[in-house]
Amino acid sequence: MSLLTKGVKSIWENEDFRPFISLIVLFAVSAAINPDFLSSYSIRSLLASMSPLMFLTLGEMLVLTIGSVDISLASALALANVLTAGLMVKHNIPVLPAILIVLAVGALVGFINGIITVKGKIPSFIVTIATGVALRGVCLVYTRGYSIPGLPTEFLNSFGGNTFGVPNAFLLALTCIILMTVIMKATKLGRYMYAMGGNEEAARAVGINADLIRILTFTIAGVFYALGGIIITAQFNSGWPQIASGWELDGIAAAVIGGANLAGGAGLPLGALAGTLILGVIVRFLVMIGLNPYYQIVAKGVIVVLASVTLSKGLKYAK
Amino acid sequence: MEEILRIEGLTKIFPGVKALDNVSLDLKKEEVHGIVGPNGSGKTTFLKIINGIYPDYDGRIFIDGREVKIKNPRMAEKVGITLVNQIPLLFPNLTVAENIFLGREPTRKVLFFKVIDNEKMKNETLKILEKFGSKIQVDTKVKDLTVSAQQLVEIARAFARDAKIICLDEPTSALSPSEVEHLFDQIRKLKEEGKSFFYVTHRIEEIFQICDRVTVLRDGKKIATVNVSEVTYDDIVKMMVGEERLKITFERKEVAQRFGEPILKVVNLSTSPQEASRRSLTNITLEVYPGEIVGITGIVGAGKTELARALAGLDPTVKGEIYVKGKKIKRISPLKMISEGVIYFPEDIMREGLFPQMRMYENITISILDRLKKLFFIDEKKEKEVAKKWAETLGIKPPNINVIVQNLSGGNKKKVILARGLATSPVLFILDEPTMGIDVKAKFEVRKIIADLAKQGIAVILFSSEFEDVLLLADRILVMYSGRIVGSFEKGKATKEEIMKYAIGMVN
Repeated sequence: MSLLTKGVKSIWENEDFRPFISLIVLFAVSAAINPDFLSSYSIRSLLASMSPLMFLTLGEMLVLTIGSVDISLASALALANVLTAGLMVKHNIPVLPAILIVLAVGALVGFINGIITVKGKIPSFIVTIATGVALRGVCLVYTRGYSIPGLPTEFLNSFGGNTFGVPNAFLLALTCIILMTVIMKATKLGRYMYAMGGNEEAARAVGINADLIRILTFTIAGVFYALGGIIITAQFNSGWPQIASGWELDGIAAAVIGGANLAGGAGLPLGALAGTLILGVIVRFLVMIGLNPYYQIVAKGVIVVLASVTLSKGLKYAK
Repeated sequence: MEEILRIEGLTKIFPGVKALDNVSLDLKKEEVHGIVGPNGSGKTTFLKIINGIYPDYDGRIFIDGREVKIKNPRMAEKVGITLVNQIPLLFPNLTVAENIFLGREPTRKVLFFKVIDNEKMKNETLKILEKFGSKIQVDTKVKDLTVSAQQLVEIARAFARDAKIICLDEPTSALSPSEVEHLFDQIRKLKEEGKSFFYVTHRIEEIFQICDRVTVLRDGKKIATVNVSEVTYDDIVKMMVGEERLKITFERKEVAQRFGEPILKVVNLSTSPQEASRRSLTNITLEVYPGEIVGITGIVGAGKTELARALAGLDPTVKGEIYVKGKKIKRISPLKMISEGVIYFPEDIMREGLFPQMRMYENITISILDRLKKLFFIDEKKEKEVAKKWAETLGIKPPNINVIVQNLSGGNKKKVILARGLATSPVLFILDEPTMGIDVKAKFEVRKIIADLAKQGIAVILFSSEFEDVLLLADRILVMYSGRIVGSFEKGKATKEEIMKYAIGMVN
């Protein structure tokens, strides 16, 4: 065996790298079939359009790490979307305060998810389905079902523009992902999150405050969903209550592809980057080969199942 | 009497343990056949095999002279064997009657439909329960019953079935004396009707009340099958305990001097059970001094784990006081006990101890991350140094601290949890069954580690159902029975036989 194949094998065996290798392979195949994939326009549009989902995936990944799941992510993004537009357009609130309010509301949404899960002792799956439905309702009530277009140019330029040719939205997502990767890998909080996702009973026995960490994780995730919502507002220049319908599965799919485990205790936030982009490249690939868009939805479902099966094979639980 | 069941060379191997080793025995018609043995001797495994719960066994089973292979509980039922579980396996949201008749409900016809005949079911249940002298309401939901009532329902359910062979696993552990009497009456009556019984128990005196023959098991091997009329109580205890000792033994030489203030003082501690399968504790009083090992032993279900959990702050207490280094602990919690330097080593480390997907060093340092922090970040270099030191001290193999812990052997997993506790520089270690389920060599090493803990001045409470552990290690041995401490011995003053007598409630 040559040194190269050995090297590739050892990288492949490291679960944190696996999503990135998949991404590179997938991207190379797509580019080989259609060199347009490599154009700067194509890459820029891929990065920009996947940025909102990156935030959802990042938040979901944190929640999956502690052994919970969050289904409310798409509705939380929609709430941030209509709220950003509403505050700036209807209430003429300046950009910065408006953004801070939206982020605070995002945190509140996550906090509510966390506190109901912990205090009600209800599975997060059920709690967040319910809050997800309710939040979508709030969006409709707030907008009365209409979209809110026409955001301030200042806002559109900063969140929808580019820096040195790279979409600002993507730069922001990348910053958050790297920040969370460092927190997860190098701080006590991160270690405790992995520990409680791996074995919550043991975590409680060594004195970890699992309830507090759960509430905190949902709250942080809520802030990221809100950031995704702010960005998508700038990209579409409007708030629309039905935005991101069906993105629940996209977020979970991208997190799982990126290395999160539905049973908890695994995954690196950096994987959210690869997971989201893999999903984006696959969709573009399907469009490129001319597949009916409806099949793309089927394909997404299949991808989640396949990714989960592959991952759970690698991690055998003793219990 | 004719033989109804014969077993030849029954063997069952779990990973690393031979639970049953070439056991042969027979059951006669209209016989009550007792099965006794210490913890881990294979009694329950035996019952589970002939009831189809462990289909993967070696050996042959004959019923009425014909060989059968029992692959699942339904098959066991078909050949006429039924089991009364030690911990009732009932459906909590169904009523008593529904539980007893589950799967064979009486029916009546309404037009063209067969529907369950509730009246008949209730009446039949009432009749069955009356035979046991019980006043349980037949339409109460099982979850609202007491533990002893649940056990009666479990027994009634098996007796109501048309089985030829009824297996009872510790049926009296939660029953009152009068309920036990009724149970024995029923057994005698069913015996006359031609039924046969296997009767597993820890209470030797019951053997003499109800059994015709008794088989003694030890370490999965059959020691003997004897007629009850030809042996004495002491004979059975002797057979259960055995004469030979382990080839490799570790004996602690040191004796701790008790002085100053006790590390832990417990006064009149009582609890009520957290789950139906757990037991309550009554008036537990004990003291542990620095460098002292207090061994607490007893049979399964005596309340050892319950006491260990209560002392670790994991289960609430109802009454009594706990002092650590003279300071009274109010509102006990795991976090509070850890901050006082009290470390708990759980019986089931896979469930309550290990983080299986995490690395060895992460498992060792999880309790001391505050000490390893530099600003916001964990100092990984220092962390690995600390972990490596403890892994080496305890001789964990392989010594690679980056290994994912679920891939370690049972003994090494236990050592990882011990290392985690040691890293916190504890004042008191509460060890629940630290040597259970590990091989002889690992057992030797873990015992040595425990002795070393005491040498360093750490106080140790060692809970073990293996008498050998407490005999070899403890300065003082406390024996639990039925949620109480019933016996106390100084080092060197106890024998296995003596402990066994207290552990099975013979001396009270």
